[in-house]
Amino acid sequence: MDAFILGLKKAIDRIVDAVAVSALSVLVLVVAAQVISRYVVGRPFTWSEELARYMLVWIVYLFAVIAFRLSRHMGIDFFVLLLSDRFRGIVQGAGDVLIFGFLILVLRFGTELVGITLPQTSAALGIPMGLVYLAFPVSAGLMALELLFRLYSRLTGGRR
Amino acid sequence: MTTTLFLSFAVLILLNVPIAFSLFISASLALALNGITLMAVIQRGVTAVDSFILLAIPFFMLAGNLMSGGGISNRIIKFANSSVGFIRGGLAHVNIATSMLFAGITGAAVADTSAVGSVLIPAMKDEGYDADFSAAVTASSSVIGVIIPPSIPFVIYGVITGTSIGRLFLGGIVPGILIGLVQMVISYFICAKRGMGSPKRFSIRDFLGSLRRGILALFMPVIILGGIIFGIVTPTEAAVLAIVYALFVSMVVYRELKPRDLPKLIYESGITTAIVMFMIAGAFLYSWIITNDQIPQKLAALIGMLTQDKNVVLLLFVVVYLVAGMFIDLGAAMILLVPVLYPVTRMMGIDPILFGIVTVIALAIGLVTPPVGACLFIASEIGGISILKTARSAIPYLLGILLVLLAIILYPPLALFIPGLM
Repeated sequence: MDAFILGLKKAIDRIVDAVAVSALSVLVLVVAAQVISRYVVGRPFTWSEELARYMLVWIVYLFAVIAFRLSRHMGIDFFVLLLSDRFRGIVQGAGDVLIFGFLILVLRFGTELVGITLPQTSAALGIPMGLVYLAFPVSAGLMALELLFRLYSRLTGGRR
Repeated sequence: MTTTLFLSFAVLILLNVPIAFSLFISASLALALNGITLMAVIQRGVTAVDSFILLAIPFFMLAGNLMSGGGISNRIIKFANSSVGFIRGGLAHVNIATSMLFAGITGAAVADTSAVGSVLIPAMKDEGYDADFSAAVTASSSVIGVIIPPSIPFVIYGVITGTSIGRLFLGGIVPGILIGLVQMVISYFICAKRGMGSPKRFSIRDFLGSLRRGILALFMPVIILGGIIFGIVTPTEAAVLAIVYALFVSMVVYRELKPRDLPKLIYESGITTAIVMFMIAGAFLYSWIITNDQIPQKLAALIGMLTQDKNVVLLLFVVVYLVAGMFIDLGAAMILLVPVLYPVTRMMGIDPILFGIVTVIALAIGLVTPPVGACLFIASEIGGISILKTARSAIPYLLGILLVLLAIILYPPLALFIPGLM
């Protein structure tokens, strides 16, 4: 069970990393193609700007998951550092519970938003807008998984 | 709504909940109490990021990372050494000049501190410079990185306020150069007093040699700025050109960057981008609420009772920025304060470009002030010295930046002349 969960967690992390890095690389190519189409060919692509914007949404929300996993999102630790070790643990735990609650709500209402906006299509590419909004609930779900995993590894002996 | 927003935000910040989450959670709470569904929050969170201008942020991050990883920074340091290294306090001047040249390539100050500091702080210590001085000059000069364009904080300011990013970039040129020159003068006197860095002879041969070897790296700011100044490309497109150019120079010409190094650089750029942009998304909700509650108008009325003088208002805001900068990172402080303060400056008739430049310079000082200062931390760590010692040695440099800031407030053409040409 333990090995299975660890393996699954690692696999999810790797997939998120790979998709995020590939997407950012492709994004550079898309905007580079737009620059070429505008200045070299003289006829700007109609699809590239919209595609770049929607890719940016997904890239930001996927890398936000990675930043969350690595605890890189900026907070102000100045005040909690004034507390004793034990008290600080309690305070951090309370913060994580609040974040978890928020993420679950985003998952719940985000999927509803996706359902509503799926029939709407974008101006240039004609893709369902729901697919763009999907980035936020997916991101929230992955972050919530991260918190659950942290709780799990703490309960099973704090390995990691 | 604003009371709920501020109170819950303050509690979350005290609990060390990341700023982005604190913004999202407190805004959702304030909106929910007014009957607005969380779906609106999610939709706004996504549309905030759905912007072509904001693409400049990941691209300038990536261009900067490619530059510091691809042998370009070493060539810039060598060029700076052959041009200003002969003056008393040589390596301190090299440090500042490198930061200025680097600033024309990257849009962040922290990248500058680690790239320049990891090479020059050990070199300075070897040549007998005090460790605290070496770390202080590195941290203080890397502040120039966000003032000379391109600059990610200017992109954030432009997006929040709807000001032209191209003109903000242009406005940063003269203040950035002035800060560099003032810091060089300060270094000269400190080195003379402490007896560090005796003068050397200037060699025209070394100068021309390093110019020839570094010319492709030095040409980079010309491409970025030239393209924007002449209105040929947008900042986003300029950032992509910068990536393509950096890839070409470091992989094809210098051959110091291998294809297998790329994923790591892209990964790191993506993470720093997400950290900033996730906060921007949260800040969209936050400014939606404070605008709705007319907080800026109320603040403006309050300040209007105290003074009508534009300069006094700007100085007051500088004080707010300096205090905020001690505790909060530059990007986060902008995201929190600009939506409140910018409308006030508009009502007072303060030029938006001028306010943008004042904002970035004043908050950039926070990168070097304790207890929280990213550049201060990195430089102290490289120098192997305590943060407080570095901070104490940085005081003259910070006063130098404040002097330039004061000059810009009292004589705005210093910042506004070049953007006015556009």
